[in-house]
Amino acid sequence: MKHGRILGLLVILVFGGMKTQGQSSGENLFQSTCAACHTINKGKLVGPDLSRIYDKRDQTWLVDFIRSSQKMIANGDSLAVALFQEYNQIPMPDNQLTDSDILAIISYIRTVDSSEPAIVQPQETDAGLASAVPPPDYQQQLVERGRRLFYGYEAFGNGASSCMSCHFLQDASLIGGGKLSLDLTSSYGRLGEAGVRAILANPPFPAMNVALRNKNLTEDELEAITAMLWQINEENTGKPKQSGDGFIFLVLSLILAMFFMIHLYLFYDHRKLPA
Amino acid sequence: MNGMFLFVVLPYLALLTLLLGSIYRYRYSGFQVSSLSSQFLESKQLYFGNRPFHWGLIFLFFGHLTAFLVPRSMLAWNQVPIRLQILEFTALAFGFIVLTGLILLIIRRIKTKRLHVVTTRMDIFVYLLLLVQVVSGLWTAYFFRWGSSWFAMVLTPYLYSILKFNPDVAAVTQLPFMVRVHIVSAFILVGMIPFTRFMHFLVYPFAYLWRPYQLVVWNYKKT
Repeated sequence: MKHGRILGLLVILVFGGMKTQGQSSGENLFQSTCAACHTINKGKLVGPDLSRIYDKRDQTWLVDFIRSSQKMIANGDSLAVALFQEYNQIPMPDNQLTDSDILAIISYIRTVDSSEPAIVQPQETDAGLASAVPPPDYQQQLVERGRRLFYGYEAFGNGASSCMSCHFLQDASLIGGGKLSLDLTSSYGRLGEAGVRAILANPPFPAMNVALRNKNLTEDELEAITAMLWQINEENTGKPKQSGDGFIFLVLSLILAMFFMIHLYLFYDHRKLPA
Repeated sequence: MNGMFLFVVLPYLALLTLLLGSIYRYRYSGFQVSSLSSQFLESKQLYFGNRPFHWGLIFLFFGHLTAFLVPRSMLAWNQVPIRLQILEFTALAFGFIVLTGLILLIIRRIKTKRLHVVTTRMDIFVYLLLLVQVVSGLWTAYFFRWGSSWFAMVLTPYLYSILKFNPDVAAVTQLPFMVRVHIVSAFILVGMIPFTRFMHFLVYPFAYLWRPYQLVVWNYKKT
């Protein structure tokens, strides 16, 4: 009983003294969480322009959607599903924002709206954002540099790790990139130049955000990666998806494991104790 | 899964339990601070299960520890794709070795009747927990590959945030389900060390390295 009380006290001390992530203002939260994909009154980016969003949607719906749009899509919310389809099926990352954080962001959007005159945005075509951007003409040298940066043959200036740690591309590599995150082969086609650059400059995905914290890509690195993604998208448009060569990874590892296991058998002392 | 409980409360509970539980066990049952050996009851199957299991675990444990303690060195090694692939192939191979060893040990434990007498409920719990840990680890290594890099980039900052009492769970809660299973079962494993045969982690007999030799004479039959 006495030990239980001491343990309880320690738990209270540890958790009571713990500092959780600090509250930030609506503007800071908007910039760090939303700005990579959304603008206020400046038109579509990866996702919709959020100007006057508080008038267009019910607040409860908005809070739920901002916190976890993916859960709402999975639950079959018709509006959430329609938005997901409209924006090229690019999921908005879930986040850990509290109700008050989300309300602070909405309040910031309201402030920006009240300080800037409304601009009527032209209607986008159904094909999405990527088609609205004229096709770029990247130099082959730039594309090659992007590939080198992606695979780590050239290091990023600010110490970021190569993209292949988490991402995969459908190219000629025998064993390519990682599988933690998305296959980026068609990312340019889905996001367009603005979307790719926005995500690279200010990643809205929590794991990528942590990985690139204080290791921002330089302007020329951003351009090289974007160029490489454009090229790979061009090369693979209309081609069937590859599995990702995981089979070679599996088979080689199993062979290596067998090699070690055989040694264990060889080292076994086969002599027997007398009965 | 509730991110706050699993990735903030659970790691602190695990560390606290490890600390207080180990002190308690040393103080109140000092002579039992180890694992109960069953080698006298059955030794051949033990050899073929035990060796791959422990060698594999030692490699994987130090691999995880390296990514935790010196993430930059790990990332520098992985910067060259072929080096990353060598590391990942070897790690996955050791994962298979651990799984093989664990399955052999579980079969031995079930099929050898005399071992049932010395098998506690906690031993069964240890087997199940290890099975979850190894399978989720292999799943992670294969389906979410190049974990040695993204561990250093994503999980090391999370673990540091826990140690600095300023937990940042934004990234870890977004990881795939099996990766989260692997992390959560690791926390449970750490917390259960003082109450299970895992306790022998803490009493590795380093003194064997410098103690005088002992001559052991066996009367073997030549085969």
